[in-house]
Amino acid sequence: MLTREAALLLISLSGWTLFISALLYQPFIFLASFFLQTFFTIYILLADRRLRKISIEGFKVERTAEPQRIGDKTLLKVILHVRFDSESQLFVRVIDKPPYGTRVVGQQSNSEGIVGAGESIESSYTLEIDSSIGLARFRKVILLIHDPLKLCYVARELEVASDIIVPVGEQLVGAAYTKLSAGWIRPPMGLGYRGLVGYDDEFSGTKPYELGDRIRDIHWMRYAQQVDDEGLVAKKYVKRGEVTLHIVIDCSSSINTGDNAALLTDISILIRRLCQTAEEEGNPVQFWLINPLLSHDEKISPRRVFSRVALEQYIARVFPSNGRDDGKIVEEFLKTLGSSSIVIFVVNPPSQNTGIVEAMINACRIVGARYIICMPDVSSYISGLDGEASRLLQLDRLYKDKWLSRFSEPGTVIEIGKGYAVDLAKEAMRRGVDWGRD
Amino acid sequence: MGTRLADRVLLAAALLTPLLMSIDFLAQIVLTPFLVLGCISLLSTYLPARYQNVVIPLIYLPAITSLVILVLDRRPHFLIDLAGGYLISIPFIAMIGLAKSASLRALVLSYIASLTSTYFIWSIAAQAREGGGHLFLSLVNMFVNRRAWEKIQPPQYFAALAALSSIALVVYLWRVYGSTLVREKGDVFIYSAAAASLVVALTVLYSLAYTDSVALGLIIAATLTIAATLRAGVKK
Repeated sequence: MLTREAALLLISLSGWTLFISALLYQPFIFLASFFLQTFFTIYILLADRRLRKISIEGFKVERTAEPQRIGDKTLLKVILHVRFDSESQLFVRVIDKPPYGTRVVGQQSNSEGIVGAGESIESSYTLEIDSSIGLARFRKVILLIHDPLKLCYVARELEVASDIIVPVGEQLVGAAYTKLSAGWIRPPMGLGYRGLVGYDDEFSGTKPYELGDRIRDIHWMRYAQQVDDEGLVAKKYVKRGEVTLHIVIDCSSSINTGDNAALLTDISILIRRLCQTAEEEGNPVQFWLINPLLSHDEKISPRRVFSRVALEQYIARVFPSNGRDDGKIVEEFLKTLGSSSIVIFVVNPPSQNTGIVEAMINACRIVGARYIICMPDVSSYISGLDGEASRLLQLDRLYKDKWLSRFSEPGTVIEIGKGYAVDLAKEAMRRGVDWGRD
Repeated sequence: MGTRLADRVLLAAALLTPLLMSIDFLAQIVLTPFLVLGCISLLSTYLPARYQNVVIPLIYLPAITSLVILVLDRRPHFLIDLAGGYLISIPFIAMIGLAKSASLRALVLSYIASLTSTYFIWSIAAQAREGGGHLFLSLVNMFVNRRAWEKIQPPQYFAALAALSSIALVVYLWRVYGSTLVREKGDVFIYSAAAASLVVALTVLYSLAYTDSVALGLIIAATLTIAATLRAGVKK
């Protein structure tokens, strides 16, 4: 590839040669200009041929990244170290592809220089990470190898994979959850539903209230009916089985909808809120991530009550990715699922992995587990509709309706509207409970 | 130290042709005070920043003086001399630009600009000497009368000088811009310079056998430029 300098040089030289030959004809000036143009063009042809023969084998690129927290921003300082194991030298420029959810802040320093014969480049730059992203997944590095006069170059891609988990401090997570809790209006005692408690337990009678029993378990009706001044009576339950909340997320590229990853942010909030509810009641959660870029172990979380920091590390793995998943998690999902499980599917059809989601829904049907499908109302994430976008949205709606018509169970679908993820989490849980009652 | 000296010698060799041609045309013209002032006033713009107080009077004083003489005394030749002074400063400006070039492209283009402008002024000076007129009036005459160009025949040693300075320029830019890679053998540079010299020699030989080699030169230059562009590719 010609560099900008070379392209401008050739254009200028051609202009001069034409000008001299047409207007100021004088042989020796024309020959000087002709000589220079011939020299540079032959040089570019030979240098380009030589550059194409350079093997990428000798290049070694190492990447280190260090997360930093400055104010309310999470920054990632990335350092690239480029070496060339050869006795000869080359002039290279290194370009790193920023991972999804990050943007480059400022300029890359020392991005070009000489490598080989003991010399190396250490280039650094800073990335700002989107608040909804907790995993920076680096992949390719592009090396532009120049000729000595820097008139042409060849681009070579090197696979330098590194996953950087952006640590989310307890303080930050605490602040995020306090904000979440503030937006969650609990119903007054006795008037609202009872979260996850009770639906997996069976009322078996009453017992005298003892110190340590929960206030919510006091049988107020019985207490009011008492004539004598007797002690408080508490409800007694028989445990039917532990309820596990399974969260299945289709991380296809279709979840990257809306400005500034708005849908992804809403999904993160939804997951946090679901896990918070489960945590309050002591119910375990298990994640199932349909993401072809993750390894099998990364896709399936352990079944447990998540701490907030551990939860953030799983949310970090929810990022849009291209490609079709191998679908191996379906078998394991079927083995793990129980009739007392609640499964929340987060999916934005059409996607390449819709088939896997369907297989998992069928697994729920086979086992008899309750499931809720959370899918976005795409029209709320897209602003400024023109004619074509409007038609595409209509098609999207048509597809979603068609897809959903396969699942005839009532109340299985919840639409995610932009900014309403907190309310949806509550609704999803309520439907999970109601299903059990139905 | 030796490297720097060699680079300076090469740069001086590249400047040799425009410099000698400039000395030649300066010897041909009558140097009047306003002609010298006009030349100095434009060249003074290259003075360091601490002398910027001197630059403004150097530019404006001769210009205003000649204009006042033209209006009050109705004598235009001071203004014409001043314009001639501006004209002869152009090759020197191009040469300073060549010496101070910060990039390869600027270096090459300054060289061609200095060579072209020097020849241009040399031709005007030669015409002025024959016509016995002013430099500026000769410029106007040459623009009006295209046959005036054909009468001028520069000495043959200019061609030899131009060849020498072109090669010196190419070697200089390789030493300055290509020597960052210490282990670079420079074989691509040597092959390119040899091939370019051969192509130029063949074009000159062709001109000896036939009447005009400009068309052939243009065809070769265009073919090579297109080939280099297509082969290497240009990023959109």
